[in-house]
Amino acid sequence: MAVERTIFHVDIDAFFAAAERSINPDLIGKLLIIGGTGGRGVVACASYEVRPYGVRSAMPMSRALRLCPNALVMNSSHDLYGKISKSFMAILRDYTPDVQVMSVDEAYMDMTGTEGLYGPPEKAGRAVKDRVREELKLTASIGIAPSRLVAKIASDERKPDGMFTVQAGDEAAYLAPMPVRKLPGIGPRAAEKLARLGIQTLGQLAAFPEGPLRREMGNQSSRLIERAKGIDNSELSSETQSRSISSETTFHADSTDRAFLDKTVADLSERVGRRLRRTGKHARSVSLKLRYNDFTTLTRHNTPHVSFDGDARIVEIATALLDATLKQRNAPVRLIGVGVENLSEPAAQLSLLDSTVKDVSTLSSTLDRIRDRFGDDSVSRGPR
Amino acid sequence: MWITCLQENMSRGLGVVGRAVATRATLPVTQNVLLTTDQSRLKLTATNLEIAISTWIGAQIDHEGSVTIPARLLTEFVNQLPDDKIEIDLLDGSKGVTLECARFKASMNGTDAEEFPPIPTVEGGTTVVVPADVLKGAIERVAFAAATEDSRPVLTGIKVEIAGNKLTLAAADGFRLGVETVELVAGVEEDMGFIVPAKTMQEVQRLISDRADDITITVTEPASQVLFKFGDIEIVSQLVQGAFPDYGKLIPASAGTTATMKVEDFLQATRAAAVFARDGSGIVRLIVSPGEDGEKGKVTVESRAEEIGGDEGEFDATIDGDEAKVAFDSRYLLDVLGVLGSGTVTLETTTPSSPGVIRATDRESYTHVVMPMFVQW
Repeated sequence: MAVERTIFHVDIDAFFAAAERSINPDLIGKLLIIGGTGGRGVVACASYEVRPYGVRSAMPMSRALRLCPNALVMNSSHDLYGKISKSFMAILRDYTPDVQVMSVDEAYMDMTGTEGLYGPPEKAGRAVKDRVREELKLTASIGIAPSRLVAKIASDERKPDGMFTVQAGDEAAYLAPMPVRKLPGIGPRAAEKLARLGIQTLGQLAAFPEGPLRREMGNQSSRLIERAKGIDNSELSSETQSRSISSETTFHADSTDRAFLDKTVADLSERVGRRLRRTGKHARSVSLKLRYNDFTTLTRHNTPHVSFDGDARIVEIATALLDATLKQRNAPVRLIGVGVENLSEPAAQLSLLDSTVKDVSTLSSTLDRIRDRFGDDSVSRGPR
Repeated sequence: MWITCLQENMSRGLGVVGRAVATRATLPVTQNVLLTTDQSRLKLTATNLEIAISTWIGAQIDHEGSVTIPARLLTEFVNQLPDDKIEIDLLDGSKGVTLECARFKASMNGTDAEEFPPIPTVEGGTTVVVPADVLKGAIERVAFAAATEDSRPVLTGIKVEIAGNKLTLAAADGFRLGVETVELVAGVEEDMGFIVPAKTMQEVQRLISDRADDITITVTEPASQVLFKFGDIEIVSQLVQGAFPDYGKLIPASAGTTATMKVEDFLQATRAAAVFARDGSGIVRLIVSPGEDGEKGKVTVESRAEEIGGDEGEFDATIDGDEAKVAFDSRYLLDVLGVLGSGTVTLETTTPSSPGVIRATDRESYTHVVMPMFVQW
């Protein structure tokens, strides 16, 4: 039998607001909102002080200010957050080399087998929280569980500045009363479908027969039921260590529909882009993999001069590769994969003639934050 | 017998026109070289329809005639022949040739010269004269800054501006800019500007021999073609149409920090850092530190590659202004430092995201602007 794993999900509380306060204590206790102040500005982070007013992240700033007219609004200072994030991850890596960075303020730690070093998990968790408080003047919440999935949900349990443990064997019981939306991956659309089957809670989902569920939810049904029971065997993938990130999909039916293939390439590119940005790195190459209906597989690469981490660039290069590959062979496609390679430190060659480089990147990271909070389906690319 | 010439001359002539031979030809005859008798010499011409190069070699002419022969076949064969006389004969109907040289004898099929695209004649228009070595040097220092991808075609060209007795070359690929002004032997009354493909300019640079004295540049009116004439060579090129960026505005008027150092010191430190930078995005970080109490300052060049390691090299420099930090793509620095010879160079910088300006202290007429890389410090 496999060793029970101990996974921490560590999440800094109201990160951007707390980061601003860490360098400017005058802001402590103020009704602080971080985000864009322009006409279409969006709340990037709502401090705990403004949450009773109903202000939430990703809400239009105009609405946030109607809910809380006395709020103090500050623009995001991403350089500062990036620096603090680096120190935060460095603290986590002091406890285990297996750290999976999910975003600037969130990471998983695989703490399996560290009892001998740090004592029981709760003691290690307190040590991590103490260091984050002392060194960064921030509070973090930690979820401890035998899997990433449950640890992630558990870290929300006692926010802010909390810690919550779900013991091995207790996962299903812990999740059972929760609404289905609590499960990462279940967005509003999926929740609606489940509601049509009378499923409101994760307990109901876990007990639902697979056959009828499959008719509504398709292929992912059995995995969904497992996850509702808290079963998740996925390993931590430390993409910071990896040299490439890729994502692929096999179609239900082989396709020659160019619009559909384009859309697939764009969706895969965005998925890969989001994972790339979580690593905090840039990529230098894009690869495209096409498998035809006869199982022959072609892979093409392109390495532009300038490194990138924005979706638009990945979509553009991957689409050009799709063009070139289909020109070489236009046959029904069975599988498409998009990858980024040659990961390197984040850097952008500034342009002498225009200044578009940074704007595009900002759009991608804003989308990431919205998706992190509202699910993968919350925003998507419109038709071109 | 049609003509007789020396293998050495024929080989040199084919080498001159060779770069204009089309590689992927939509018009197959452009993969051929045109041989034409021209008074008492043999004229060789090749064109890819963007650029045409002609050269003349000494030959004994028995009778007038012309023919086109596949360039690669002819060049490769001639280069294998001994340094001796080559006798060339036209096949019936001028559809090919036979070549005899020492104890070698070959026949090659070609096509009628009539099928060769006409080379545009550049007559009238405006003519200026520049010393060959001056133009060669200026092209070498400017042309590498031109774009090689043609997403913005004007940037693949070199802007040539002629005003009074001065000629200015400018090239920019969107990330860097090279500008040099040279004096003309014979100037113009009316100012003019046009864009020559960088590839053409690089051919001109390649073909200017150390012996050549003056180059005549003639531009049609309106500007659609340009002719470069020097020694036994004529190059006719299409011009790039479009508006070149107003490059004068891209050169910062002032700088917060100016570092003056030896080209070779800067080059060596950058090369060493580039060894590590190769694996990443080519990033090298420069830290310009003024000296304290009248001491000499220094420049530190750093590179890091996460999985490999990193390097830190420094050298003496005279610093005017505050400490400055700026990161560049090492390839861009190596390109410009590589063409500046020995001597000293200045680097002007203001913020980590404002353009860096590199000048050779002994060449006031030259300016190179390079955009930094935006990095986390």
